[in-house]
Amino acid sequence: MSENNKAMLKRITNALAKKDKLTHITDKSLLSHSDKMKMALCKHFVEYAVVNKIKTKDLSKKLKIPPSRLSEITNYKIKKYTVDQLMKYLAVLAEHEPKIEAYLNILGQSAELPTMNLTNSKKLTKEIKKYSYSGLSAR
Amino acid sequence: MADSGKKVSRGRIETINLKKPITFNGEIFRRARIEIDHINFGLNPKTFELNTKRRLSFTVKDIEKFIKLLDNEFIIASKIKGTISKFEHRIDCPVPGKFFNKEFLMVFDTDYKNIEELHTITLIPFGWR
Repeated sequence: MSENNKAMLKRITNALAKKDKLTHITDKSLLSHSDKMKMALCKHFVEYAVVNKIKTKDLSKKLKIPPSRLSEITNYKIKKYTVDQLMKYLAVLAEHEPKIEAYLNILGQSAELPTMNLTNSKKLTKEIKKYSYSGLSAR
Repeated sequence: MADSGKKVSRGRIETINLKKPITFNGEIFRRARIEIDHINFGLNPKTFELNTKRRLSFTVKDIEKFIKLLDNEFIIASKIKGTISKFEHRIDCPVPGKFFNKEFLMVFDTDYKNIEELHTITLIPFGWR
């Protein structure tokens, strides 16, 4: 797994040079609801690329989204996009991935539901998370 | 928790069992290999050896906090070489009292052959130092 120190330094130098393009991992609890939503929507593009082992370049051709745009989305540059724009792009991805189509349906249906009390909301969130992640590990 | 660190050209490497497994890119990671000396001393660009002067003072437990931030994340690898996926990304320091909220470059690898283990190579302070 380990590369020699010279190669390692080159890797670090290259990463530092493209600092602004790198994904930024931060504490999600500090984000606004809108930013959390945007992060979550971006995550589906990354998940699709990772699970299907597709390069972003190939994904951009498939979805007919400019590579620079898709690169920003997959690196979670959420300040550059609105939820609406990301939903539009996600709808394009849904044409290629039935899972995303189903996810968008759930999202739409859950958004129109009346609000629940706090206990039930937390319980449901926990259940959804449990189902989602068990689905991932069963892949 | 930590195994006895072994010496390599980048100093001590510690293998730890994560207190709570993390899910990263849809895979569950239970262990982490941490190049602790590389993180704290850095490499000299002229000699390619570890610096003699300490640049950071992180412990293995501190690095575990950085790794925890990767839980439930999906990130595209910057390079895939054989079974190894290489990642470089920016990360905010989650360690209270030690550069808290300051930005670092985190370099790490995952290996499909060793799917439960994450290899944390280094952390580099961004411009603020």
